[in-house]
Amino acid sequence: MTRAHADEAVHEMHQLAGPGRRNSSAPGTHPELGPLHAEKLEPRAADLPAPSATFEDLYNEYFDFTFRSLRYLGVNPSALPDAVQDVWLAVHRQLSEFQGRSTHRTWLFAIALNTARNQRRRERRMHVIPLSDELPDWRSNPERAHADREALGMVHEYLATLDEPRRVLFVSQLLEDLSAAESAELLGIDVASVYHRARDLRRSFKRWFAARQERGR
Amino acid sequence: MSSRDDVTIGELEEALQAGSDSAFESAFDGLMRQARAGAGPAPALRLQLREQVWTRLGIEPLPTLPRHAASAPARLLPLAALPRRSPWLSFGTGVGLVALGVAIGFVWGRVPTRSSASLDAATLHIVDAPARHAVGPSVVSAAPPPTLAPVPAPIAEADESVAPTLPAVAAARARPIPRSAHSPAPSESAAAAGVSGNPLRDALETLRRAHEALRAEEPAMALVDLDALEKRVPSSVLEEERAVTRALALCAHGEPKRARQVAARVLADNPSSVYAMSLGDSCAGHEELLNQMRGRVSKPAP
Repeated sequence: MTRAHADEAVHEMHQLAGPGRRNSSAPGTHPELGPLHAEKLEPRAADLPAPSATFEDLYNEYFDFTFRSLRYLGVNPSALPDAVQDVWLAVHRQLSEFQGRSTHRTWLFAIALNTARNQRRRERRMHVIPLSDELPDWRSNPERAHADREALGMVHEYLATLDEPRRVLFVSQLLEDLSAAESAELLGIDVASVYHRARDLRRSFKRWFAARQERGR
Repeated sequence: MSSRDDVTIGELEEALQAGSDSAFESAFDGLMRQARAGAGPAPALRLQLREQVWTRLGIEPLPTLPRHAASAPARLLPLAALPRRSPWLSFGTGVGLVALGVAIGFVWGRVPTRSSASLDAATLHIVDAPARHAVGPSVVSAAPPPTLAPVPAPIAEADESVAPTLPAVAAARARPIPRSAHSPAPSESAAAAGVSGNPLRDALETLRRAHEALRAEEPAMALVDLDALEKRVPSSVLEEERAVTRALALCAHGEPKRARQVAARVLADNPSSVYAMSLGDSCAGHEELLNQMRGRVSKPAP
């Protein structure tokens, strides 16, 4: 995957996200949403690109983030090891070209998103039947591990109902807690729209959950 | 309902039926945290993938395992074989240490399973590349990348029926371990510790010994090993694993306050630490630390 592919991924997200005013809202109080949380507006200082960040630094910091992102974005669990390696090989190739216009997380997420798409395309061509979503569990507390698996399964079920832009927003804002600015960058919309759509997604999840529970009765 | 990590689907439903938006929001946030906790890689898989990526990139070829390593008498001990009455070794912590021990054992090519013979045949060997390569984005590998033997099958859990053997611990007991304020000479420490001088291997070997000492209920020895390691090997090498082992050793040594301090640092530096549950289950798992694990304490932007 080249830098162009990663850029293309971000650009495609912008297209799919639909019209939205870019960066036209000043931080402060939104007329509809109320006070905007300052700590969520801009990337955290720790997430800002460090000029001297090496590949190893990024790997140590963000490997789990890319692994989880691929998982949320629909990569078959059996394909996750290969997919995450593909991500980091791409990172290694492109790191020298990274200019710090976005945070590392935004950039890495875009690479993971493109990798996930490629993987899904390969699976469709090969008619791969997705295996169980479960990976072998390793956690120390079996009860917590079960609760975590249950939670992850439910989230996966809901994510499957979303189109890609909404899935990206859900993953970035509600699962991985990226800043609003980072999500805005990924989707090519403004920060206020990020908050607005994230709130809509919460409501959507609630409706979906209620319907799901109703079907289960 | 306050935000918690251990939100169940049933609690989400209760919040829905109660008709409370705030309760549902809180339960939803907890569900997201749990889903995130469930989505990460296992420690062994993380280590395996790191090796594979590093190998494919030819960045830091790992050292060749010495021939005798494959037949070394000492092997990782299944924690489940230890007496359950051990006050510090709750089941949760024990299995967490197994995960760490399995991860360490995986790198060394020795993993406790029900079929050691079949595992021996599939031991991972990593062949050294001719030259070291610089770390960084502009790595150019002039030498052929190291080769990997077939990766072993998914790592099985520790076999509870295997009787523990403590050759390494016995050897450690026979070994003089001075608590000296002075750093031992590298050759002396290497000879005393029986390590190669390679930082990663040194750290791995020391962690293995520390875990064996903990399993043998000798936390003081584990702490001595960890202290000596601090003087020999840069703290960045397996930093998180060293800190977690130290926290658990301090718990076993009856120093919960220091254990909590170390655990808090681990989680501050690694908010998504895979060892968070193990630390939470230990003496270091008190409310403040659990809050830190949740990672939802909102701080004002600097």
